[in-house]
Amino acid sequence: MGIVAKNLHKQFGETQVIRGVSLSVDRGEMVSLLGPSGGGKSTVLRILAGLERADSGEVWLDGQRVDHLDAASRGVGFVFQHYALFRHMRVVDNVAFGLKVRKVNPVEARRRAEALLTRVGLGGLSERWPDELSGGQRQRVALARALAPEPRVLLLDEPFGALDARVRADLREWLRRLHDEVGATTVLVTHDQEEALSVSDRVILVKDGLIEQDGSPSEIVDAPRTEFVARFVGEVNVVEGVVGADGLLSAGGLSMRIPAGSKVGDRLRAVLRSHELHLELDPRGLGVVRRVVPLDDRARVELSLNGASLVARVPRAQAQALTIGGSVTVALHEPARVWAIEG
Amino acid sequence: MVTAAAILWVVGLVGVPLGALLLAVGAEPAQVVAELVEQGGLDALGRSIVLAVFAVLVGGVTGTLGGLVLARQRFWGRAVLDVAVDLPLAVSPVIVGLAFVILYGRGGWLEPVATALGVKVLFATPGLFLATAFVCLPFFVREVALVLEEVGTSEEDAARTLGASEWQVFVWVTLPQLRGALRVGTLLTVARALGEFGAVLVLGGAIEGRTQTATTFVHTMMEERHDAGAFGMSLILAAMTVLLVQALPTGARTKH
Repeated sequence: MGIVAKNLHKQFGETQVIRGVSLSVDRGEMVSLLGPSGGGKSTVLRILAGLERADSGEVWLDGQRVDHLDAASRGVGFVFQHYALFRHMRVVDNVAFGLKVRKVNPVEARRRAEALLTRVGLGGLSERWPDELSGGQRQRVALARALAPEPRVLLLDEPFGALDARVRADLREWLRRLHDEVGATTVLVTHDQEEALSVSDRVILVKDGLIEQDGSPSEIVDAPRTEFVARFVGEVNVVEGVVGADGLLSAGGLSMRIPAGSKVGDRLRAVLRSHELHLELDPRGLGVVRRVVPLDDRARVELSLNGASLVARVPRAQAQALTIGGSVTVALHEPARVWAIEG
Repeated sequence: MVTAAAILWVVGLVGVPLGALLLAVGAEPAQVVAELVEQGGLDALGRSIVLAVFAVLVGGVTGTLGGLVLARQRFWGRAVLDVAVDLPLAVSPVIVGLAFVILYGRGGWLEPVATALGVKVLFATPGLFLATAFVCLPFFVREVALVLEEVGTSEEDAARTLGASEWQVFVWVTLPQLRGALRVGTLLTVARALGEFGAVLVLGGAIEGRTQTATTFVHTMMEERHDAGAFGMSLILAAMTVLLVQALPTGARTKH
């Protein structure tokens, strides 16, 4: 096992930031901690690195218990959102820093730093200063620097959070390829579900200091365990309704099957993903098209139905037939997931 | 219009007096040199420079540590310390001198300590050192704390995860970050140490050959009707200050 954390707790002042987080990451696996800002995922990462100490719980790296070790002795590579490059050192010296503190001889350290820079695609930039590089380049330097001492695990804290959307997308594909080549056990913290789903072997959703769900990207997308997960990883509609005599839930003008254990008259809340809604042009339809936003091969359609606002994703070809203010019928494409309202 | 007024204001306030000083010295250069030499001006200037160097060394070390504590530690009483650091700027140096006189004078709390150590504080060199260290206290602390708060801890954290010991982090990451702050702190401290008058007068007593500093020398010369010596020393001090300000990095010059 590459990384094991058992029942971590952490409090800052009066705030309980981590409330019992346990997770494990296989050697060579790439796992994302995904969740909203302030949910505690960065704190978990910093605890793994030894930059914060948990109030209770255990951290194991490669079968060794490390909670008593400081960050310098844990052998982790850490990449920060704002790069944290040493401003007063040239790029090559940044990358060689971890080798220098390990007393690797300077010629060898430099050779290895140059090799890593070439590997991350920055071969010609070793004599530059960090502030002469673009954000994407800086983050690749930071990654090379973290990899130089050949860490047991690589921890990335919102590594692309400060970059443009375009650069982000390129870098994350690149990161995944690099991961497959280097094979380091990697944990990536991000609040971007697309990033998490596209690069990781497994996604752990963290919310309010607790793990909400832990599973493969397809499990997370296809079988979200809670309303929060469904909302976080996809575009969803939440409708409320009552279970009717026919055993179907009527909510927002739609009828849907209900989960086992519900009775007639129960008030339930249903979470419907935007691509599960099916639209059909129909002058007598109850849905009214409010807005059509073209995306790549699909379009996002905002509509109102019986006073409720809904979002649907439909193929572009179909969206082209829609007009703003036009009527449509709305049907459920697939059986929806339904969750009972709490309390 | 505003620019012209600003220039006029600064020239009138700074340039004209400095020009007057320059003319006064230029009118009788031989007399100026003679009085500086004969009345102990060079000795006083040397003492002031030694005090300035001392203030930089003490301030540099204690200020860096103090700045680190203020910027990086959260502890009970931090707010009090934060305010206390600025007191030397707020309180008149004469008052400070007087407080030290009470402390180390006959019957003062610290008089037995000084006596036991065989150190004479008042009207002696230790008094000058105390006065100078006190008035220069804020500069390094403030500069260092400001920069540390600005740069945050992520570079230091990065160094830690790369295997650096706390000492290596300090030497290879924190100190280089402080280069600018230490430079500005040095310049401000030197300027203040050279220019300090009230505290060194009260604590030192301006005794020729023993506790006379450049500024108290100017005062003594004026009182003794050796105007030429006073003009000469004033011009030297003014010139040194101008050179110091020129050495300040542009950013720091606009900040202060």
